[in-house]
Amino acid sequence: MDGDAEFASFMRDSSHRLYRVAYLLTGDRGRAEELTQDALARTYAAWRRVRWDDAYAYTRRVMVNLHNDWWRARPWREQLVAQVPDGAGTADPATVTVHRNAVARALQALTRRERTVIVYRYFLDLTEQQTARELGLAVGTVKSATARALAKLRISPDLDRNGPAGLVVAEGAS
Amino acid sequence: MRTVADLRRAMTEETEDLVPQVTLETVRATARRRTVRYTGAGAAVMVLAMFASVFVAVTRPDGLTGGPDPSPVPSQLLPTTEPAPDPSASPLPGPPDASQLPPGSIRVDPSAAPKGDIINTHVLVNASEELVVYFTDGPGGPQMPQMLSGLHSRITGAFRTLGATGAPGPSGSPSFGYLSQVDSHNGRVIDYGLYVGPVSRIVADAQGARVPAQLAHWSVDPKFVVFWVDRHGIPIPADSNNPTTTGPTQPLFTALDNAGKVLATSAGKWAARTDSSYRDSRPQIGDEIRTGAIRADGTELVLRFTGDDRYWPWLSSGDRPLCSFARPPVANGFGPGWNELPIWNEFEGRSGTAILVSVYVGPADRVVVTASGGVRTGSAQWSVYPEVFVFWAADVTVANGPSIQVVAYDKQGRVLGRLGTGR
Repeated sequence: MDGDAEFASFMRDSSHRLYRVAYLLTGDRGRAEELTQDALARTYAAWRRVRWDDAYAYTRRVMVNLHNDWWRARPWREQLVAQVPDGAGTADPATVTVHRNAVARALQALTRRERTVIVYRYFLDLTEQQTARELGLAVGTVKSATARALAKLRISPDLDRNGPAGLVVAEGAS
Repeated sequence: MRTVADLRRAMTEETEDLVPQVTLETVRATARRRTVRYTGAGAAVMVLAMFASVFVAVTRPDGLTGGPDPSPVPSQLLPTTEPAPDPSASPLPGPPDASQLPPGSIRVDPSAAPKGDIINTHVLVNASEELVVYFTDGPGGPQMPQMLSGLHSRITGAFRTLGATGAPGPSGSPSFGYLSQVDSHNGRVIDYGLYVGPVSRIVADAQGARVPAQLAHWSVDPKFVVFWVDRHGIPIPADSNNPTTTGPTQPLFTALDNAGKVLATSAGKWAARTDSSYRDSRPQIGDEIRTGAIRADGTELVLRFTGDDRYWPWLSSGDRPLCSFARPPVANGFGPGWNELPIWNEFEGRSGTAILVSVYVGPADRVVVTASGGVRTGSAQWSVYPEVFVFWAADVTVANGPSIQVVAYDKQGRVLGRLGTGR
């Protein structure tokens, strides 16, 4: 199998997972699409180097770094409008969309580090050590960021059990 | 749901049906021509500050403006006349002459800050924009620099990125990176790229001719060599991502030592056009704006606002994003200087001219663009938010570009703000 075919296979296997990570990091499908595409493009450019390594982890790291870079360079890009227009919520009647928006909104209320740590720990199911290693953080930092994030999520109105998501997060229940 | 397990399940379940639209083709194209956007952020602040001071200077308590006839501005291209001089306004300072800027003076976004000197090729790819190259850290960190290329306007000083090229790899042997090409739309093409290793000269074999390449060594690490060739030829296809260099329009570069011995060739390296890298597929918001200005490819420059309900919309030409807006838009006057893009956006126009586009957001009743020397101008309001004015100037050259003046008037004819391009 040549490099192109290998990459195509890798992309087929991983793009859905990467897109979901990107969505949880950005809270926006369009941005997630861009982020996924950019991260995959960089992996593609580096394919000869990473093909024998963990290309999925590499792409994930690139994605997180890109997200951080974008945020630092263009904070306005990540600013939500003050109030989501009514039409946005009602345009898609599917409950799942309302629910998803709620989870995404709750995550967007976290700091970038907290959000990333939450995604790594509870979506990617990485350990504290793995998360710390991949994000270049101390394990203690991962622990404290996780605790702060869970505390915020616990009182997030978006995740209130009476809200759209009906979710209340309790600490120490993992 | 009350536990972390619930959070885990929610994140999993609620993203499960998300399907990315990313395709292998777009990834490959992005890999070759990915845009690392940056700007003259500092320059934008400086220019905004200048316009802020000009605003103070030209707004007079008697409401007189001395500006052009405040008749309604047609939203289509119109010939313009010389503006009446405004005795109360001091001459508008414009951006510095880009051709006179010393290397390194181009201000870029901190996320793509240059390392070492910026390399001016002194090759004009159109009537007014020079190909400029610099290095920055690649996604792999400082040990893997990448080469960024962009166009620096000699009319407005604006700088726009074309793309990034990674280093060839850690093999240690002399080698070429990806090849890039810009079509200058006048029978000339500019090929450029990155070579790493010792070299005495580089030559390009293209369409039956051998052309010597210009070389510039990176100031931080001289083994990184930028090369370029400005030649007559047929451009490679705009969406090319050819995996070989054997195509009829694609040059083969050869690196030679002092004795003429071949050190490396670009055989097998991909080549791609870097002057067409973006396609806006977001939904359109409101009416499109037809400028009547003809681009180098013969099509009309049509501008659209795109986006969705939750995030800030963009103004886009379809193949290039220009600037974004809050919703409702923030009245910050001339130029989207608060985001990462230049105040003036430059497009290649017909017959070696340029088309300049910019934006005013504020309480103006009309925005009037005037110029001399055959420049054709126009303006229009966004149908969704009329406080957003888009204006443009076509048939612009280095010679007549400085004559462009833009004035925002309120209903009483008072000047709310001005924008110029003059040097």
